[in-house]
Amino acid sequence: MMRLVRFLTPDTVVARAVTVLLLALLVVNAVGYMTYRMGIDAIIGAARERELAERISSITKAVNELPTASERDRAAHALSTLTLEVHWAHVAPTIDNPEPDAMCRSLSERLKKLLPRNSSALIVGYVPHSDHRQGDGSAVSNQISNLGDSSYNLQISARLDDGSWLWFLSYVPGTAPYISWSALLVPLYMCVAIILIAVLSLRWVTRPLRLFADAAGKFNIDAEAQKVPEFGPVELRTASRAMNSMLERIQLLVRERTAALAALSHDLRTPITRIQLRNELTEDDTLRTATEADLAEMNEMIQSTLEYLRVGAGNMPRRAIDIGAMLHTICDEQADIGHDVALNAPPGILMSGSPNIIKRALTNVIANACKYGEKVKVDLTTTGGHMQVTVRDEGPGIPEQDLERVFEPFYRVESSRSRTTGGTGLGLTIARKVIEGHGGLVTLTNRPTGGLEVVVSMPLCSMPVTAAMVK
Amino acid sequence: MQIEATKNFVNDHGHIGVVDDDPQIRLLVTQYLRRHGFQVSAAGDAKGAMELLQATQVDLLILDVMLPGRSGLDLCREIRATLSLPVIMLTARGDEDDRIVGLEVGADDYVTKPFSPRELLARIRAVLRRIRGDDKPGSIERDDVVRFDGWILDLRRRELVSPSGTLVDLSTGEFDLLNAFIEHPNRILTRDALLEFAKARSAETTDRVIDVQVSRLRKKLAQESAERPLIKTVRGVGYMFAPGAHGP
Repeated sequence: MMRLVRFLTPDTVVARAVTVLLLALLVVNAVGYMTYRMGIDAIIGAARERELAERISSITKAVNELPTASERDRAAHALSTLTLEVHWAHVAPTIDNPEPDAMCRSLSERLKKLLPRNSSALIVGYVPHSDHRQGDGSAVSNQISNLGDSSYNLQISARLDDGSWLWFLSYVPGTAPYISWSALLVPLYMCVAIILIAVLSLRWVTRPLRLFADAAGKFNIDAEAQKVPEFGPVELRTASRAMNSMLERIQLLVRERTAALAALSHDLRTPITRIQLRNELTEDDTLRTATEADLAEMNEMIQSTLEYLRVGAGNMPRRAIDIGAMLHTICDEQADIGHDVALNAPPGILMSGSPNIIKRALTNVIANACKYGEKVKVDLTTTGGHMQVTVRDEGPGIPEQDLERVFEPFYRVESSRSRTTGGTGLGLTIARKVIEGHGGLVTLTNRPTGGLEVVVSMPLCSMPVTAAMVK
Repeated sequence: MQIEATKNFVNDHGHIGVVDDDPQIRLLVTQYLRRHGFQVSAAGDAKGAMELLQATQVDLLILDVMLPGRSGLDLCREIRATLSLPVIMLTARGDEDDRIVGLEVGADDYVTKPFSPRELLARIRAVLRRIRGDDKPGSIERDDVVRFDGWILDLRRRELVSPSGTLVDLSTGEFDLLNAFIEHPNRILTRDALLEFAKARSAETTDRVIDVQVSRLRKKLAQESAERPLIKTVRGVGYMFAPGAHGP
């Protein structure tokens, strides 16, 4: 149902343009047809009126010349036709409302010219169908519709020289609503042609627009200068140029900031090394240990900042990695420094990736769980072409509103800020960047039983294991 | 410092050349190494380093990658070409390229900046021990890669590749342990001996840690060599590494 609605609601430029064109075509055709019908009807009406007036005048003249009443009566009947009934009578018809409309008046005027002798005694009006006596002409107001209206007949009476009357009753043949289906073929053909031409030509017209959007969508801040193609109509070329200059400025800005941050982190190494060396000369063990811890923390910050800047900057070579072995190294390391971490990893699960940064990403996720949670469980599984590392802990979890924000650079959950081991707020940012860079996904959820669950999923190794390496 | 330096038998430990452009670091490293019984000469750039090497006979050179003028890598390459002198490079931390290039131009080991002096000391001792204990004196050439039973251990990149071509991640301790086993195939290595090798990198290694690390290393090797354990336990003594026909 929704699909139908969406299908009927034009959303693309092509659909909109075709809709507009079709609506215009419909209106033009409808108005044209109506005008045509009105013109035709007017011409037919005028011709019929003239013909009627001439027949009435000639019959009146002819009957007027006949001497006897019986001859007149006979002649009148003889001159009757299917469309015009003629009667001879001694008396005038009674019509309440003579000459009710323009058609009657115009017919009357014409008859007066054709029959100058009878001009003073002409009665033109309507009588109801199958009732010759009288009709309510006022009900009929529209000349055109009268022509097709069969419930009233036009009655004309003319007095002869001897005072008797000729009654004419005109049976106007109803102009049957005439629709030629063949007439619809032309607009139909035009519709089809318009749709075809519009779809093809508009796709051609909007192609640069699509490419423009594609190029803008693919823009990657870390990659080398990329440009939106400058082609297509002038407006689009202008937009592309503007976009390109904007992209350049963005890249320049980011590059400058990155360089500044990298330089700062790099340059801090020398003074830190100095402090580290000097610290070794300190006799006071407590002081030395404390300073060492501070230095380690500073190192960690520099390390992760540089890593954050480096990850994604350029393609790193990919290799087949034994993920289980890597997880063992990471978890053993965490266990060695006193964390409660249990790993369940079946052997032989391989993925293709950049080993150093994959290890960094997984280390960040697992170390995070060890740092903020307890009783960490790491499980490695495979599901449909993906390997999945699930890291569960029994810690406090993360407030729902922070679940997405923890991936932002330098963002830290409030409770971890106050801790001395707060970290840099880059761990998960780096992890996500690496994992997504390998076509994977990382999701955070609070477990219903308490604690956090992190699921890292990445495509399994697609390259065949080379037996050639064995021998 | 002087008192401490004289307290030790200076010449017993060796003569170390330190090349770093930062005068503070130069001074501090010099002081630290002297305190631990080394004779130390220092230089601030490549030119000074060459002069130093001509004037004195050093046993080991500590060389910073980033030097004003000629880079440490260049210098290392030249030293490698003319002298048989062990070199430890000081590289930027985590900069993979620096590290690999450093090892490729012939450095024997590397220490990442910022480094702890104890780590530097451990590396110096390890390199000196390796050189002195070598069966072929004067030759410090080692193969870049070692093959055993289809496995490949890349010593430059510190990587282990399985027979099926998969990278198998090792911790620093596991790598050093495996390296020690490979250097002494089919020989029983006591826990104490293994401890010495492991100490080269991490100072706080104990007896039990060796057992744990051997077990971890075994588990990783067992993934593709399960039918025949490469590392055998010699009850009450230690361990023995026994590669098959494809061993070194």
